[in-house]
Parts: sequence; C-alpha cells; structure tokens
Amino acid sequence: MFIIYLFLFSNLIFNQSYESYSILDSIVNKLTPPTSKGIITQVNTSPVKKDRLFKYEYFADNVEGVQLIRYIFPKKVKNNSFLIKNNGKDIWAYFDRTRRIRKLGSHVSKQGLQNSDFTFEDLGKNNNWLTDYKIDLKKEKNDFIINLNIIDKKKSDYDKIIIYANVETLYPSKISYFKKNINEKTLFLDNILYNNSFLYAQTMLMKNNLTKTETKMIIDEVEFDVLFDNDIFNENKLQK
Amino acid sequence: MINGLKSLILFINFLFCFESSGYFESNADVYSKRNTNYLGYNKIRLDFEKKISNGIDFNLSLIGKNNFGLRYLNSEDFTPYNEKNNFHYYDTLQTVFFFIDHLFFSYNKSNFKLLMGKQPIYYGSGFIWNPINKISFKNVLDPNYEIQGNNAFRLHFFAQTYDFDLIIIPEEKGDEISLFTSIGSSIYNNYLRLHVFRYLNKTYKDNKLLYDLDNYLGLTYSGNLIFDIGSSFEVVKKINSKSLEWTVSFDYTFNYGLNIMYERFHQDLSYEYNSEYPIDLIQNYLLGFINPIGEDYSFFSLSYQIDDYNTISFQSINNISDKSSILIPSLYYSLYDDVDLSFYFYMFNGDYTTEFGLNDWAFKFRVQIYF
Repeated sequence: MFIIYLFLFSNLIFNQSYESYSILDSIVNKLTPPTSKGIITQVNTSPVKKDRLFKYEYFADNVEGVQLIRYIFPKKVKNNSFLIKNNGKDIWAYFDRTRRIRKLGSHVSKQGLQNSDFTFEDLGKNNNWLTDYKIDLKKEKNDFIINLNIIDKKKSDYDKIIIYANVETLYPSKISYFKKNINEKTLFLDNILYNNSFLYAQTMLMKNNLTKTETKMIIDEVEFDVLFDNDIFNENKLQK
Repeated sequence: MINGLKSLILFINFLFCFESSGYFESNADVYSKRNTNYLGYNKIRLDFEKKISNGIDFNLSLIGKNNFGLRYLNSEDFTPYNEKNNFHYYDTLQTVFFFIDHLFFSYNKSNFKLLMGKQPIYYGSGFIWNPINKISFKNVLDPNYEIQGNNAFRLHFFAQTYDFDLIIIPEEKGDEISLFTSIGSSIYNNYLRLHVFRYLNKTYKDNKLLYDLDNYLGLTYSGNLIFDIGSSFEVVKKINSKSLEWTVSFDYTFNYGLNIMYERFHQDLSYEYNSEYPIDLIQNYLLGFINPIGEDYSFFSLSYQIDDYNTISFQSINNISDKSSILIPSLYYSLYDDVDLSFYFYMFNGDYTTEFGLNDWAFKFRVQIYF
C-alpha cells in the first residue's frame, strides 16, 4: 500500500514539475520567437535628468542565440552596432565614427544597453531560467505566477525571478528580478498584440527600483519568421 | 566665373544625391612650458555614401580644417629635446586646408567583400597600441579618435567558422607593395587571429632613407581568460630577427558602472635611453616611421559613467623607458543628443628630454556637433 501511495505521490510531483517546466518553456519561447526583426524606440527616463531617446534596428535569431542592434538615432551614434552572441556572453561592438570593431569582455553583458535598465543579457533568450532555477508554479485568477529560485548563485545575477503570465496566452505581463531578496527591477509588458501567429508586447517598461530610473522600449515595426542572410550576424560585417 | 559657378552647382548636385552625415568640431589646447601658449582648430567632416547597385557602395569623406593660435612649431614643442646635437626642426600649421579622408567603393558578393580606394583600416585587439597594425597608428593621447584613411585594396572572405582578410598597400617608394593576410576564428567566446604579412619598413639613418622589406608573423587574441575580465593580447615577431612587439590588456566594468583598464606595450627599437633619445630615433619618430618613441609603456584608466550625460575618467600613460608619465583627468558631458563637450587636463611628469616631459601642464577643450 505504501509503495502505491509513494508511486502516486511521486507521479503527482513529477507531473506538476513537468507542467511547470513546459509552461515556463512556452513563456521563454513566446518572449523570444525564433527569428524577428524590427525598429525599436528606447526612452531612458531618470528622476533628475531629461529623457533620452534612441532608435535602433533589431535583428534576432534566437535559435542560434544571436542578436544584432544597429542604432539609427541620434546621429551621434548612428550605425553604431552591437552583436550579441551565445545569449549575451559574447559581445562585439562597432563604432561607426572610428570604424572600429571591438570584442567586449563578457562583464559588459551585465551592463545596460546605452545606459538603459535593459542589460545585454536581458535581450537574449532566457534559456537559463529552465536550467539554473527551481521552478514553482501557482495559479491565481487569470495568471500563472512562476517563482524561479536560483540553484547555483554563481550561475546568474538574479537569485529570484517572479513571472506573471496570462493563463490562456502564456504571455507575461510582469517580470520581477530579485538580488539578495531585493526587488531590483521589474519589467512590465503592455499593449500585447498579434502579428501573424506571434504575440508580442509593443511596450516594454523596465523600472529600476533602486535608481528610480526607467527604460521604455516601444516596438515601432516588427516582422517574425525572417530569413536572414548567412553573414548578417558576422562580427566582421558589422561595418556597413 | 560662370564655368566655376556651373562646376560648383554640379558638385553640390553630385553631393546631394548621397546619403550624408558628419560633424563639426572645435578644439582648443592651452599648454605651459617656459611660456603659456594656445592653439586650436575648427574642423568639419562630411561623410557621403551612395548605394550604386545591389552590393556596390561608394563612400566619400571630406575634411575641412582651419588652425588658429600658435602655428609655428619647433621640434621641442612636440618631440623630446636632444641637447647634445642641438637638433632643431621647424613646422608650420596651415591656416586652412581641405583633404579627402576616404574615397573608396565596396563590393559585396555572397561571402566576399572587396574594398578599393582610400579607406579606413583598423585592426588589432589593443586599446591604445596595436603592434600588429603597421598601417595606421592611434594617437596615444586620444586613442578613440578617427585615423586617416589609407590607399589600399582589401579582400575579405567570410566562412561559417572563420574569415580571411587580404590587404594590399601601395608604397610611396613606387616599386614595392606591403601585403597583409590574416585568418580569424572564435573558439568558446574567445577570438583568435593569425597574421602573416610583408611590410616595407622605412628607416632614416645617417641622413639616408633606407627601405627593408620584412616578413612578420603575429597573433591577436580577445576574450575572457579568467572570470569575466576582458583580456586581449597581440604579439608580432619579425622573421629572421630578434625583434618582438607585444601588447597585453585587461578591462572590467563593475555593476555600478566603474570601468577599469590596464594595458602594457613593448617594442624593440635597438637602443638604450641614456638621458636623451638618439637623434636618428627622433628623426624616425618625426617622419612617422616609428610610433611611439619609447620601448616600454603602460596605460591605466578608471572611468565612471555618472549618468546618460556625464562620464569622468582618470588616465595615466607611463613611458617606462624614459620614466616620464602623464596623468589625464577628464570630463565628458553630453549637452544635447548630438552635442558633446569634453574637458581634459594633462599633468606631465619628466624633464624636457623625455617623451611626456615636454610640457608642465596642458588643458584641452573640445566641442563636437553631429549632423
């Protein structure tokens, strides 16, 4: 009898953890579709300084784990580019004024993109959510609330992440990032739209709770299922 | 007069069919030696780009500059003083001048890219010193500044896991060319590049200009050797010679925005600094055949981005060979999206026979307006 209970219990636990894993996997895939390109407006807001506006072209192949960002505004940084490979571990920068291509150290992946609250790492596919965290899933009204707790603290900057995702669409509306149990920053995903069969948040707002700064990313144009040229993600071709 | 006007209209019409950008820059330097002097310039750069057909681009960059303040320089203003030979050399800065910085076309076809004409050529992993790059030298005091274009033929081949680069430079001697080849690949977030090249070395010795066609072998690396610390090195060996040049650098940015960088450079110039630099070495330095003048250098930088608009930094460059150094505190301020102001203060340490002891102190102010 005990063995039957043990079997049923372990089966229940396994099913729950499998369900949590597959829901999180769907969320990660919805946040970062296989291929996409678009134009994004970035607004950096600070409580003490005037807003700063940037505009860039964005190309992503999340199957290969590569993203390319090429600035189009302001003119000072026009054509400056960042090529992010291996999900943020490998960053190449191109500075158009000096025509230099430089490989940046991986410490830069923790830094904000053009001083924003989005780090280079935030832009990549968060596959590490599935491998480096213990997943705890709850359901509350229309949302899944997924608590991710880090297993090995050396593996990620955040020791806890809480994701609020719609039960039907599995698209998140809010993601909170914690360091040492302090909610360092929160991402709000608004204006969720369909483009063909792909869901995307037209407005992403990252609020830094420590510095009180905010960065808003507004998707002006987007296209999914893009067929890229072989060499678009080649560091030697960053120079236009 | 009418023909001139017609030519001007045609030229303006020609330029306006291009995609254009550029910047205006005004720069003023004040330095103190025995007296306090000032000099500066106003500069405009116009970049034009035209896509002629699929894969073919044409690029033109024009620079106009006018100098003001001190325009008559003698060698003691910009080279270490040589007392024994009482060496003097005079130079005059032109009041107004224009030149073509870039004039080239590029052709992209499948995995090949071909560039021909006067073009920007940068490579190497070091921040200030790139011993692997014999084509263009950075300004030690301003390594992020643009470098003038070079006449070259360049062919780049890109494969899935590696790329191959060939650069041919016509030499002013007229009967030789310099030839640079390299192959690069990424291995586990680390980038390695092997260089093999043939370069026409120019040397001024005993009032004669000597040419030597030398072969070199080099290796560059950039990546993260330990933890997340950015690391890079360059090493170049002249074949059939003991000459070895290298650069090693490390950098790290802390989470709160403080960036720290260290770079060390060595080159073999076959001399020993003994209270002053040999006269031949100064001549070669003046002619641009060697850069820099010392054999061993170190660079240290601390910079902190306060916010979107302000960055402060402290940099120190040490010439280990002659024991001179400069400390450079600076402030970079972004007044508007496309307007930048920079302030630099230079504190020199060394006597007049050393590289960084030329002046006592200097101040630089620069404004850049992009359009």
